[in-house]
Amino acid sequence: MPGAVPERPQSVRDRPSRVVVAGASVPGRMSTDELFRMHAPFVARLLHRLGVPTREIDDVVQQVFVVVHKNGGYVQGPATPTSYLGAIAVRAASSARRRDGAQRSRHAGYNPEMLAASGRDPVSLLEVRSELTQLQAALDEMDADLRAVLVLTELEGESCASIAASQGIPVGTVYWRAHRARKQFRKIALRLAAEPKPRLRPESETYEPHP
Amino acid sequence: MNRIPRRSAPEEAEALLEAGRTEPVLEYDVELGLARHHDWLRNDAPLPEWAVASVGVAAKSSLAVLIKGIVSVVFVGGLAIAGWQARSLLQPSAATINPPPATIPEPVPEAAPAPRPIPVPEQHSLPVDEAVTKRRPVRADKHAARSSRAHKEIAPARVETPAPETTPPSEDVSEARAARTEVATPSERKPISAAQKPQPEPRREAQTPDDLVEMQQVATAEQLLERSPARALALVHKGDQQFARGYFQQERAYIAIMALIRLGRIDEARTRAASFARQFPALPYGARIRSALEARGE
Repeated sequence: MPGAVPERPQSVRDRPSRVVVAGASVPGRMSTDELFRMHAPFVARLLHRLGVPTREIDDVVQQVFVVVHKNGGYVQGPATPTSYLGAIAVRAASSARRRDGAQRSRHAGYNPEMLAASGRDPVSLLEVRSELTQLQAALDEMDADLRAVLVLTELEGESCASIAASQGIPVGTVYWRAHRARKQFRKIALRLAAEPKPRLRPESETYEPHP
Repeated sequence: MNRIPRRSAPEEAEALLEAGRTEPVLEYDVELGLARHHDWLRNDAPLPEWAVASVGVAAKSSLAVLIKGIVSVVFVGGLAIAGWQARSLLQPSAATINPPPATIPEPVPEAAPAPRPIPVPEQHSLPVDEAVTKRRPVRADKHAARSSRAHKEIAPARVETPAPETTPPSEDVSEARAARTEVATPSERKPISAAQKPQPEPRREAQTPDDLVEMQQVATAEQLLERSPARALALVHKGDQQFARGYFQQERAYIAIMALIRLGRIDEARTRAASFARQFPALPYGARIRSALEARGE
């Protein structure tokens, strides 16, 4: 079955949203528009990973960039633009999750249409969907602080130093959280793997993989 | 569908993370979002509630800083007074724990020592530390918090010092800072009563001192990467020997390659980068290593 999996798409981190600014109006500074064009997908993805309901993501992205605008954009420093945006997005996600309450664990961790468009065979599609659902379920069970650090470091590739600078905390603290986050994530992932698999989308799914 | 081959915890976790790194989960229409963003700004969208209290924005207003300062002073003063009152109230309440028997008709004069009900010997029988903590729990806690804060500030530089097993000092401080920036729950602000018996901090996870040392070592190495890559490299080598099965192998490998690049040992860095790519495929550090190598070598 693994042999049937075609070449996986390019990593989300290698996409153009992470390219360093060229042609910024002022050296070392990025306007809100520039940040938006380059990093809005990153912010949306991060909010999604942090448990913001899909229907609210666009609004929360707007809120993040309104705050960026009021702050006067991004000024080059020890924190990268993505870490800077990430720190704001983490606070926004925290607020959105509080509003959303108990429904958060029911969000799917993938976009089925996007996966279907990747031209895979149905078996590998199911496998990937299962993994993404499990990933999101594991993230949903994590402590908020640890989850944010895990998503930023492991999924988005931010450096601990940059996260520390953007959040105003020592690098050691970020490393410590990353360490605890990995432990917690592994524990949860293993437990979820041992549990019987839930059906992926019970309310709309017509294809049933199990007899 | 059944995935029959069971994987270990790290393998299972890594498989999920790799799916998260490589699979598209969300498509965001940037142009549409930007147009909407301009609409928000034209309509003078207010700051969201969660951002109003943020330090970065609120600190721009000197009035807000002044108000915060006054509130802080009043709050700290109130806490100090409450603590002092709690201590002064403790003594009579302690006397009432063992009241004189009702058969004694006349009260004992204050100056004269009480003949029978003597609670003091119990305290003397305690070990020194516990006795001090019981007598002055507020001060003891403050002292512990102060010392943990001081320890945390220098934590990255003190690699050799093993931290306590329960909770790392850096975590205490970070959470204290988080409590400052976010809304603190009332339960976190419970005044410490002198009558309460000091309880040990709950153990979140059983961490070994080695974990802390490894974490501090990697943090120090990353900090050294910019100004002293040779020292960072040495520290990473030491860590590889010391923590062969540690949690931060990937970070150490990444720091070693970046240090080699900064030291101009490009060939060696390339060899290691190739090995890194095989060992940790699709890891976030891979892209950074590639771009650093391209910047230096081509």
